[in-house]
Amino acid sequence: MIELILEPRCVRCLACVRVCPNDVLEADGDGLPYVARQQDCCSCFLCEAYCAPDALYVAPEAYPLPGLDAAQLLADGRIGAFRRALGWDQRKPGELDARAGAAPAIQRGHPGSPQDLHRSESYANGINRH
Amino acid sequence: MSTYTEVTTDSGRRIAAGDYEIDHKADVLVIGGSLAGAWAALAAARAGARVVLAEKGWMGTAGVVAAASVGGYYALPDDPAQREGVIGVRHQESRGLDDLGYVERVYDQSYRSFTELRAAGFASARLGAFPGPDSMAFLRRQLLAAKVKILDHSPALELLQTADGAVAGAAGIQRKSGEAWRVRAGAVVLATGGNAFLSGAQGTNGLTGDGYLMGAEAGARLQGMEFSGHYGLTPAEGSCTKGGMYFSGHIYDDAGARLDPLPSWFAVPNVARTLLSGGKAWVVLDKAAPEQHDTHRRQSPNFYQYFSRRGVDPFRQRWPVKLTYEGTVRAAGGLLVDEGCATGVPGLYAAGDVTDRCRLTGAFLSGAGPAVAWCVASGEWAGQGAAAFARALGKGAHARQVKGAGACGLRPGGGATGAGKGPGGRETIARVQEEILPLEKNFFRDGKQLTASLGRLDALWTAARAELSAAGPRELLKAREAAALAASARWIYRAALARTESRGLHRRSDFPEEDPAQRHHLVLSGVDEIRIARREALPA
Repeated sequence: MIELILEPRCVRCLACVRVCPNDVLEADGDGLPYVARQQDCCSCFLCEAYCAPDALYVAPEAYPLPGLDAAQLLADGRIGAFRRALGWDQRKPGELDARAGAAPAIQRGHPGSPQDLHRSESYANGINRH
Repeated sequence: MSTYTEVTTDSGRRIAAGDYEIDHKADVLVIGGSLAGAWAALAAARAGARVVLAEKGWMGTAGVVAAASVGGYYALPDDPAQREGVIGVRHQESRGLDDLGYVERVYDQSYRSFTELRAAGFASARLGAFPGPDSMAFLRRQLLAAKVKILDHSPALELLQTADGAVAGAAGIQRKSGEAWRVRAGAVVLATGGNAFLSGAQGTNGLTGDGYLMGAEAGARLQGMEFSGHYGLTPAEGSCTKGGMYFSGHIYDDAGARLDPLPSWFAVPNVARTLLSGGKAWVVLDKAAPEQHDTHRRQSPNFYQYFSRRGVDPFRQRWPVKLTYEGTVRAAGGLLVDEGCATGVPGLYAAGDVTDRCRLTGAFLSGAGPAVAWCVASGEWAGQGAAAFARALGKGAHARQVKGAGACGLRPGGGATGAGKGPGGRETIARVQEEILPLEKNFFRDGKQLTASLGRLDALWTAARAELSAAGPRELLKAREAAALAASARWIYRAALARTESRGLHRRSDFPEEDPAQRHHLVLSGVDEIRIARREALPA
């Protein structure tokens, strides 16, 4: 769940408030975003992806995780890691470079290649086996 | 920091009374802005329609695709071996309920669509690959370039219908401002996704079965709802249910015994059994060669954030997994559509996970390759169909008298009474979840449990139908989501009770075998009173 908004780094563009698919964030009277509905966050990291100054931290845990140390998360590179992993620190969203691909299991060959044929004669409905 | 004040606009009264602050006209209204909705909107716009797209969240981050990296299947026009392989890839698991001729048509269309996307400048590494956040950002730009009007944070709450039953638009709210909106349209495409029952699975919190409810209220039917017993493998403290990476690993129980004689998805029943008996299940992705680790991390960055942020090496250390319910998202059930993605209700089309996908993958998972192909193929056909329907209506389309078709959560007891009594939206949601989320109730189903759950769900529905409503926009949305969850759970369990066998994603512990005499489809209709009809499967 989203845990931190780093006020000193925030440029108040409110991209996070706009892009959150679950309406988790709001802007306060000073134009600063804050977490209004944390329970609706499913840790998709997309607010981080759209946060150019890396002023947000989403913990991967599916429950609140208070007491995180922002200085530590900044120092060890966890803040901004998802944006960098997408390559969005280098380019705009949607302007793909061809390195980005599909999930590995599908990536190996064309669909229908042997790696993708996870068929098994013994698989019926999950009850009969074992 | 100042505290947030809930918008106090009486959206509930406005919607129920048909008093809108925002009014649009379109040839085609698309409801839902993930892959299927985006594609439907583009197809309708290419066919010359004026298109409005309304999305509950933000078009670009909403839906399961934006929170994932997926690859869609396609059939190469000139490669018979590849075609045969991909078309038949899930035939065995479909348990006699797929339609290979239709599968071929879908994968031919997805090939054309993926090729068009590439020609439009979408530079994914491989044809059909959809790195989620980039794909949806790219499609948002395409929609704007095609002059599609996008309404973000604008959940549709009900369809608008003419006196003779044609769907002629929808109404909803802008959830941040609280304004009530209406879009009058020649035709509507539902692309609202499946229903994961707010289980918390990454990317699914917006997927609450809204389209099932709106569609069924307008007279559409559903099919395949019983094939909905899938739970996604999930890192134990996290929310990501993506499955592809488990093909690169092993799954063990506490004693170190392998739970994955079959890979990934096929190991789920064994994991469920282990968890149900109080054990734990552990994963290590040790089949991935060290030189591939970076590629894996790059290809599914959201999945690997869980490990990098927690300081775990998923390729070398073992880590516990849980199972998270995915409802109908990667499964089969949904609105029954014909070959052109029409629902049978005039003017109402559907695309993507909101539809039944039995034609594609029968009683089994539609997720990943087939589902992504289906999003673009069904989006293409629904968009074209809706545009043609609107065109045939001509100039009179917006002059039609319309009425809101929404009931439960919106018009309690048949009238608008403002804030309701009885259980509110949140409590209704929690009570539905108690029946549908637990592995104990919904992984291996049995008749007694289903009957007991249905009794409670029916009572909950009756109470919600009589009393559930809300005033403020967010509470109103919750009330409608609660209604959609309750309706979906009732459809799922009603069909599950009627199917006295085990087949694909429907597992009955009291009927553990597949029954050849039940190789048919169950078609559901009705919202308050649910009716079930049989539809024969294609000849074997």
